Amino acid sequence: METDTDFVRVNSDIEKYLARKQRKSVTLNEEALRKERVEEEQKTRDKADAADDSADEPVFADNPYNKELLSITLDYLTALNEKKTAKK
Amino acid sequence: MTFRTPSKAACTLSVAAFLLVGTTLVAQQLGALGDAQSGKVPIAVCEMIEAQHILQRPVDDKVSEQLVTEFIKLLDPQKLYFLQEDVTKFEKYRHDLDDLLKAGNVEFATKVFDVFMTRLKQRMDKVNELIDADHDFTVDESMSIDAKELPYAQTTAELDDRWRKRIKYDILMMKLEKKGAKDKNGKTVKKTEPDADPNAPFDIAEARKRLHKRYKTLYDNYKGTEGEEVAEWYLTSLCMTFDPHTSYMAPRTLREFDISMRLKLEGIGAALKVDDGYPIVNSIVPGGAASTDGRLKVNDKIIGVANGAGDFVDTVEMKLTKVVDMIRGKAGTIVRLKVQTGETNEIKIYDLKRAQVELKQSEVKGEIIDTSNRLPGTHAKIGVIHIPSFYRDFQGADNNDANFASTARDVQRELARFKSAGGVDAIIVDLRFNGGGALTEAIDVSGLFVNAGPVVQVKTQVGKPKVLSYDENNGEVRTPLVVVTNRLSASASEIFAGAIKDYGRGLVVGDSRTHGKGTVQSVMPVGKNVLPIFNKPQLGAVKLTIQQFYRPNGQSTQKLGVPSDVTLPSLLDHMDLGEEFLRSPPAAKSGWKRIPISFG
Repeated sequence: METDTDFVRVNSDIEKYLARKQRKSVTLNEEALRKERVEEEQKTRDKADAADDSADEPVFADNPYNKELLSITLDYLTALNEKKTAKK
Repeated sequence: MTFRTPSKAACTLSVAAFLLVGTTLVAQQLGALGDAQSGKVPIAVCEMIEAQHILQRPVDDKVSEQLVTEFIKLLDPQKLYFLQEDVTKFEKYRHDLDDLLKAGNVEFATKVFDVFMTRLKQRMDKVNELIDADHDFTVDESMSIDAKELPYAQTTAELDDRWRKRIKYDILMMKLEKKGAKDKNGKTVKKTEPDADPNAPFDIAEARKRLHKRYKTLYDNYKGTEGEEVAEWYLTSLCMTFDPHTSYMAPRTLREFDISMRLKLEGIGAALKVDDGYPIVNSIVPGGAASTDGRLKVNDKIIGVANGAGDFVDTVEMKLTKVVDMIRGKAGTIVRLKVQTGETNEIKIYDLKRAQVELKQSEVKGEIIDTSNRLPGTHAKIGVIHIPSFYRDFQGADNNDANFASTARDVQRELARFKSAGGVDAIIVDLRFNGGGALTEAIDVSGLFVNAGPVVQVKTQVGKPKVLSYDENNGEVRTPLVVVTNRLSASASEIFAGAIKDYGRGLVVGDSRTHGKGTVQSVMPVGKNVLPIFNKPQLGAVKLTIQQFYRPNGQSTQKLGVPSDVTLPSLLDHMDLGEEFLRSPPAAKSGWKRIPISFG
């Protein structure tokens, strides 16, 4: 998972967010603000995409997070089976 | 808002049917207190808090002092309207509000709100000037975004400058928007997306038009405020000085709350929004009266409403909550709508028979995922159950309605579906963003997955802990279980996740931990307090924190949440979300000790 590009991006978003969270003010200089905003563009686009499918939400969307949940569930099943086998 | 099954739980609570462990109810619409009994409401609210709140504290000078601050903050959280001189005047009442409330007097709220409206009007005049003024975007200056650090403005000139920066920021944001460009999928990019090109064309006239409209809407929203709403805000501020989950719900808010718990209402089944003063159809609920009739369409403007054969009432510029109130009504009755169609702008009159509308989109939903479709090379069937809230139709349950809304029943339905489809290898219960709901539903849903036994224990400040158990032994599902949570899974969700974890019944996956709310609320009608025997007037209700709850292992979830066994990275996990970020967390100093359950 650490190498999965989607989670790498989430981690970088988290870093950016934590840096921004500390701020007490926002710049009103166009050039500076534009630079900041463009850097965050990718994230904004992700959020907008996520909002788009809210109208007809699937029960369990096919996205990287949910894929990871399925993988964990499969690992869990394997671990439970191994435990059972070991007991026998 | 989030919350509801057939109660098979051995819930031995005697307090009231409405035991809630919900957290995120936002008092969005404020309702009417405007009858002869209204002076009795503040008195009753004070009495109820003093008698029933878990803190067992009086409404005294200390509360009064906090209330002044709380109410001012509610109206002006960003310190953009009131001047320091206004606040100083309000603070003169800091030792009086308790006595005034106990005498049924809420004039302080009206006074503060009147000053607020005056300041708001002054600000809006200035805002309109500022929108049309020229701003220099090359200057190096910044705008404070932390109101906590900011004092109230001493002078109007100081406020003017705060607003100058604000409007400048608004215009700047519009200037940076990417206009009409398409992304790689051919979709028009959102207005929030920034344009990297500093020379991109910018239509300042259009931006100014949008801003004038935005601030007019803001002003109009406040302008339509009724005295009763102000009283609701005020009494809720009073409740908030006790804990963040205690509130006063005026009749209209209470109706909305009931709908969120019952997942049904009586009306036409259309969701409305306001645009430029017009109520507009935003969506139509499948299966509702409007959907069955078929004439009303999304984007139609509703310009008038008549009840039955009555006269039309003009709804343009009317507060949306009022329009909705007029459209709703008993199933089987007729409501007539004067509609300007979204497509052709023709004026048409539709008569619709109101009916029960079921809010299916807020129900539990299930799906079987064949993992080979998503993770090539794997072969398993995983049943996913999404629980958006622990809803429960308390009234329906009391009336023994056959099909009253119930989370546990709906979860059972999905489990049965999985079984009849040949079974699944594992179950994922998705509690992300589930803010809680009915305690009894949390117990019943837990009971479906763990053996009969204790699920949670509750304790008042003074009483002994009470163990709440699920005592049926049939239907327990043994399929391996994964529970997914995030920082917004609260209350009832934490009871479920806690029980699954403590019984070693499954794996908890998600954010590092859940929200961290460990209290139980009860919704108590104010009318009952005013006239206990008959003709209880509809005076709203107080949602009161009455108990703390503890996991089967004895641990409280208050501020701690339920930690996940496996944590996945998420932005949400790093946001200031959770009980510790709410003001005046309940019972911080007392209680919250571990109470191990003695299993008998």
